[in-house]
Amino acid sequence: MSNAIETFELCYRAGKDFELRDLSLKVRAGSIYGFLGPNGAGKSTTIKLLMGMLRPLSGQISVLGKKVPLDMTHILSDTGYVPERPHLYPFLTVGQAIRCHAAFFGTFDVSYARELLETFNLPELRKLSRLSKGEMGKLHMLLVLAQRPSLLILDEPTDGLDPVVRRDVFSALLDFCSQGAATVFISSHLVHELERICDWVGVLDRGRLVAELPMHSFKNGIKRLRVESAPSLIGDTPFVLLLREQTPYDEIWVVRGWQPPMTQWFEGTGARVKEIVDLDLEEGFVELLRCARVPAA
Amino acid sequence: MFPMLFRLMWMRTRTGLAIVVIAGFMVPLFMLAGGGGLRSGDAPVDAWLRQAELMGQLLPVATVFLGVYLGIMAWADDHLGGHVYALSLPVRRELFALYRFGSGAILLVIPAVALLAGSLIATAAVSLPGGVHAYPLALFGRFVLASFTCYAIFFAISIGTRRAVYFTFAAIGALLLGQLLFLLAGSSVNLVAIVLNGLTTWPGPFEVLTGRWALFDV
Amino acid sequence: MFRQIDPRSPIPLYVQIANRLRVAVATGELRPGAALPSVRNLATVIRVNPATVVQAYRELEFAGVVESRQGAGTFVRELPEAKLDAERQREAQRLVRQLLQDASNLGVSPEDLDLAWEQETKERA
Repeated sequence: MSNAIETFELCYRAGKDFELRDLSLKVRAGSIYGFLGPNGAGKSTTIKLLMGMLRPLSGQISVLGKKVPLDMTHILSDTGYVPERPHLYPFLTVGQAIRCHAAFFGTFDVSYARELLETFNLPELRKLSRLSKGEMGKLHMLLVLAQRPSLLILDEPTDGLDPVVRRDVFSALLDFCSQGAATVFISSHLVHELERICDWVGVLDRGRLVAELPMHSFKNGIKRLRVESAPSLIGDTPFVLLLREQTPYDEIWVVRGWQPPMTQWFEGTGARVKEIVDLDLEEGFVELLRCARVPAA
Repeated sequence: MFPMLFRLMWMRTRTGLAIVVIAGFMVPLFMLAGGGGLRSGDAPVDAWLRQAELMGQLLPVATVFLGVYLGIMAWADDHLGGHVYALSLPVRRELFALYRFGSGAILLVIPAVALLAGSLIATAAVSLPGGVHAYPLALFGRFVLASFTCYAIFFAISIGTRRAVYFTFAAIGALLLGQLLFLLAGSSVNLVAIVLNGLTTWPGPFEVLTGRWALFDV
Repeated sequence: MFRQIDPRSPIPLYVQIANRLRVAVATGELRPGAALPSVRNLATVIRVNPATVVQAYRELEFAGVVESRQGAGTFVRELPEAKLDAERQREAQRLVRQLLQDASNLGVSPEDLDLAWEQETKERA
């Protein structure tokens, strides 16, 4: 199985507007896939569809090589899911929640759970209803990692958590990933954290998959150029010019579809490219969305 | 998986169950009250039997409470979390529901057993006048059947979506409103009585709750 | 050691990690024969994709700075003094390149740079 998750022209509608349209995702096995998108883009909906909690209007979904929702039980036994909102039974204590989870998953590793309990410093006897947001976030990660699943589906797992907790959660996640070939599908607003750990990126905007590519390609695709002596009027460009800004000494151009040979074009106009800067994930993401929403400039 | 779900239900409901267990155990003993004179043989048997039966009326109340309580508690926590946890577990939905149902069904026997124990003690403690017999097992059986019926019905309601629950309450509200309209129109039609009648006489589901709940009977 | 890893930098993460380790080897911070942290350890501590660490280590192996031993891990190679000098030179070059680029961006002329260099080295002497 080369794709841990694959959807084909997935459509979903809630209410009058289409929530998802012709969504065709491919998540390669063993990758850490970052699912990005602004609020309301449909990320959580997509995840619920993958988990068989919602029924699509049309299209196909296959997870871990099996069809959703036909083979759901088999898929779920090998998938660790962290939803957006707390979902565990609040009357349980931390220890009881672990034992409860262990009863349902054959691959649950109790000693690993103990290890994580210590690493995360969680109070075993405290009821879930009394846990802080950070502790709950850590518990969620503990439970899904201790399952030792082949696939982790994480819906904004660190949303609302302070930086220290986020760090601990991601460290544990990466430690798990280093031990084996698990696939991680993680949706998040925290673009900078994803930047460090994801090797693939999928961008969702208004229910459509706007981009899906390896992280390095994504970051390489959009560039910021420092241009000197640029003329005020420009004709056709071999790249897509997204933005043009003046600085005291030169101009900053944000372009898309840049290729190194394009410096020659600048020579033709009498301008000079002083520097070519890769945009970080967040900036690239913002520019990409701007581009996706506005028809060709 | 079932043992864990059973354990969860037990943890959740043991306080409520304790109340019904105590009530179930005590009712037969309270039925003895007033029967102290029986030993000497000069207390009127009729009056005592009627009093005992009065005590017995607590039992259908207990079964309704038990059925509603267990039916609601079976799904309370899942409803809170939007069923997300249960849906993320590798158990088929129908099987999960069955496990939950089974847990409640087993638990409701506990107060019934307490009732049986109390009945047996009460029966042993009193010397019954001629013609009067004790029916502890029948009482036990009836209790189980009645609580099971209530439990099954409220389990089904509680498993439903919020919309189904609203619908149920809306139906009850409509019934009461209809009754009010009939009253205002001067009609003598008693909607509520008709509906209750329909529910409590065979083949209505609540038939088991009606009638005499007597431990001691002729 | 890896506090300067910057995912926002144009330099790919694996290159940054590899460079940092090369500097450590060149300056003696990592001695010949020393073991590099395991992929798992490093990925967890600096919170990057394990594949990134693997790539960095492979890069270092290709450059002849480290060697991986089956089952034991990755170790710093015994490097001749000439090679260490070359590494240090490489790092020096990188620092200057960065300096020149930054200066150009800010509009600082080479003359200003020379002047500043004079002043700073005098103070250090």
